[in-house]
Amino acid sequence: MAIATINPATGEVVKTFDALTSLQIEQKLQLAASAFRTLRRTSFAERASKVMRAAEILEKRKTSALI
Amino acid sequence: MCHRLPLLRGECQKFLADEIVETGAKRSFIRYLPIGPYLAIMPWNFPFWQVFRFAAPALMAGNVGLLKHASNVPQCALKIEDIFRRAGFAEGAFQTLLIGSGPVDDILNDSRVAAATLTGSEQAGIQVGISAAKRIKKVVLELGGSDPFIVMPSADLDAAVATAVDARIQNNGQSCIAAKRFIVRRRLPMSSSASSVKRMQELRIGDPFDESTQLGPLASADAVTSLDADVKKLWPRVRAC
Repeated sequence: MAIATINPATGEVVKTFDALTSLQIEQKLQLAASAFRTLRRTSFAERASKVMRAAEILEKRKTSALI
Repeated sequence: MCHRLPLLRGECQKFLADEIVETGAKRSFIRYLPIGPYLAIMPWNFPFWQVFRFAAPALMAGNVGLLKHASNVPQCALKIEDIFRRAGFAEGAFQTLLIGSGPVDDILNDSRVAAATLTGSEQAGIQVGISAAKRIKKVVLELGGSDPFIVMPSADLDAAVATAVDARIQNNGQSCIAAKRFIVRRRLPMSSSASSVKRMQELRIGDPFDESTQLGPLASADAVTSLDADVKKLWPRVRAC
C-alpha cells in the first residue's frame, strides 16, 4: 500500500511519500537507542512536563487544520 | 484529547511509583524503570489520539517511541513527531518511520527495540504478537472488536433506536468500539424497526468539513468496496428475516 495522503471523498492523491530505505531505518534505530540512553536518566517530572507541553500545542491548534 | 493528558500524568505517576513490599529484608520494593525504544503500529481511524494514547504514558515512563503509522495518514505521523520535538523532547525520543509492514519483523528482531504495541486488526495483532513472542519481547495489543448493543425487554425503544444509530455511525462507523452486533431481547414492533431504518436513511452524507454532515466518506476506496461486498453477501439473509 502506498504511503500517501489521498482524499477519500474524491480519490485525489494529495501527497506521496517514499518509504524509508534500510539505511534510513538503521539510522533511526541508532538515534532511538542513543535517545533512550539520555531519556532514561531524566526525571518523571521533566518528561511529564514535556508531554503537557505537547498537550498545550494540540490545545492551541485544535480548531485549526494547521497545527 | 488534550484534556486527557493531564489526567494521564496523574495516573502515570501512580503507576510508576515504587511499590514497597514487606519481606524479611530491611527494605524491599519494586521499581518501574523504562525498557527502551518500542515500535508502535497504529491505525488511521483516530490518527492523533491512537498515537498520543500510547506515546504520552510511554514517554512519561522514559521509553522512546518509533511510530509506524497507517500508510494513509503519513502527514499526521510526521506532524506528531514534530509536536513532540516542539514540546522539548530530544531528537530521537519520538520518531516516525514512514514504512510499510514489510520491515516490521526485522525491526522487532533488532536488539535495540525493547517492545511493541499495536492497535488494529486481529490478523495484524497476531503477526506482531508472534514477532514479539519469538524474541521474548513485551507486546500490548488492542484489537477488535464486535461490540454488542443489547436491547432488553424493559428498554425505552425510541431511545434505543436513536442510540443504536449513533453507536453504529460514530466516526463513520470506523471505531473498534462502535456497536456492531445489535441483539434485541424482545420482539420489536414494526414501528421500531422502521424507525431505525428511517433514521439511517435520513443521515446527511456529505463533506466532512461541513458541520451539518453526519456521515462523511469512509477512509479509503478499499473500505467502500469491501463493505459493499459484505452488504451484498448478507442482504438475501436480511430480507429473509
